[in-house]
Amino acid sequence: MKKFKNIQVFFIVPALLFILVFFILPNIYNFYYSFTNWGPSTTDIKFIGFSNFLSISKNNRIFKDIWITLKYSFFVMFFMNTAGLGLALALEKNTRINQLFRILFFTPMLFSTLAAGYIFKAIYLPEGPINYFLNLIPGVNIHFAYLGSMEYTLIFVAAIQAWRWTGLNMLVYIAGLNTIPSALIEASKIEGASFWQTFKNVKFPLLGPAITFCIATSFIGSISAFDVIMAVTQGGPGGSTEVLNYFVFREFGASSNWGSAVAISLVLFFIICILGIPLISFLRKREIEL
Amino acid sequence: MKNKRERIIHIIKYIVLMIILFFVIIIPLYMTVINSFKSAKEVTRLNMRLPIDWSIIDNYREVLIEGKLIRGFGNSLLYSFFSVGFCVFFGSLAAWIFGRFKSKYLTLLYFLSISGILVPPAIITSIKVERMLGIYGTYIGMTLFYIGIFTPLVIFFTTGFVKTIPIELEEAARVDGANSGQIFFKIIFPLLRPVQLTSVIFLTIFIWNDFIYPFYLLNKAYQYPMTLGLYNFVNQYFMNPRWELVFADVILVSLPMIIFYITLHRQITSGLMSGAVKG
Repeated sequence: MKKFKNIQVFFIVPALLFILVFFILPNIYNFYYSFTNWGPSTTDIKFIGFSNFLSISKNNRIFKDIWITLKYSFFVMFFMNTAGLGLALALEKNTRINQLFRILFFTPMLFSTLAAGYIFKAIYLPEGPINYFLNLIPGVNIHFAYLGSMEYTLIFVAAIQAWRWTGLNMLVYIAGLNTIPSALIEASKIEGASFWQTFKNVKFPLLGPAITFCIATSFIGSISAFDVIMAVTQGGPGGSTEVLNYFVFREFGASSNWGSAVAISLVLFFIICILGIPLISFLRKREIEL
Repeated sequence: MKNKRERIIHIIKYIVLMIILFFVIIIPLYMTVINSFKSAKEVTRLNMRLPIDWSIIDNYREVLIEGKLIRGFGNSLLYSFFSVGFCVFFGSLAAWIFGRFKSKYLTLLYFLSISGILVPPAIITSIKVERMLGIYGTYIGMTLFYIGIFTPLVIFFTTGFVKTIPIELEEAARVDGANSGQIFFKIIFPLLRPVQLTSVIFLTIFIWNDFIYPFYLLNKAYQYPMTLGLYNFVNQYFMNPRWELVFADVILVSLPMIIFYITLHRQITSGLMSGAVKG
């Protein structure tokens, strides 16, 4: 038995070592360095209490950014999961034509979010394709700048991230639908259930694990968004798309005190724990075992 | 009567799908490709028309040289290959123990290991850790960081899979006198192939397209992966982009993943699908 324990240790140690050093340790450091004046060239790291937290709260900036991040995350999750589930229901059957559609709807996943950002930065131009197509409709004359609106730009940016990731959610939902025994679907059809009734009463409750996976990954991915903001708006217009990870970058680049950047990422850490853990445990609980 | 109605619904469904596909996927990609072929003068008005003056060679040559794309391709390949390889290997080793044996400590270690799926990496303080180890701004520092943050995903996928392998296989081998190392490498490791494929596909797509981590952890241009090269190239003229070059760069940066997908799309689709619902 003792010998066996040694073998266990031997198998676990490599993975654990890397996880401890490059994931756990930096997260622990977050709790310490957010209270210091640590910077790119500080030789004498001092404890400075809450002043980093005070400086990121100046003009309520951190609270504004938390709100922006939550809204952004909500829109991404909403777009990704409604579109992903909708496409999955339409392309559920394993026919040739459906497989072709799945491949085509998956293609955005192959682009980095950064590249997708650049593509859509052009699409959203006032003289870009969206307005071009809208103006083909008789009587329409639109020159809307999709990236210049304090109210709506956040939603258009969220749509880019959703565009890039929806294909993955679609595949996961299809996989989930395919695990539902066809006898159940047949039975509900024989009973005369409509498409919507079958979905609501049979498919949706049995999609548990797929829903958990898609909601959880879209939550984590959107709450820590960065690439798309860097590519498209750089926080603008007027700071209306400044999500927390972009604020981290601003503090990191702008000041010689990295402690305040660490403080923001600690705030993000707590938001993810406070919202993510209940969300995932709720989703896991509603999963039904067949 | 019912049949006819169903067939009409069927046809309408595919027409709607075609319209969505056309506007959401085809138009953006077509616009990207066609405008990357145009000359600087023509591209100021982004439209769908074919180029009058085809400048494919000029644009792509400028991007390849100015965007340092060949170097970037080599770097991306290096980071993806080594991090994915070690993640899958170390992750499989640990997942076997987590999937097979039960103890309080193991459960604790398992949850500690997979916490990396929920909680994002602390990127700024990772700079601190890497500086302490003397690997900040190096190829090794970047690769080891990826191993640390993506092994949790492999452990998560693989542990669930290990539980589905019948334990009798191992017991029989143990009776025949095989030790744990032999059991793992001769019996378990080959059986893990489907879930390893899932991990490889997920991690390759994530790491190849990753931007934020190299952005913070690398500081020398010759070490940049393709995504960071793209960012720096476009950022030279952020306010006034030269779209024909931006698009050419976007296409060249994305091309390796597109080829990866075209060659392996069957495995990729089934790998992605099985990973998520079984996990």
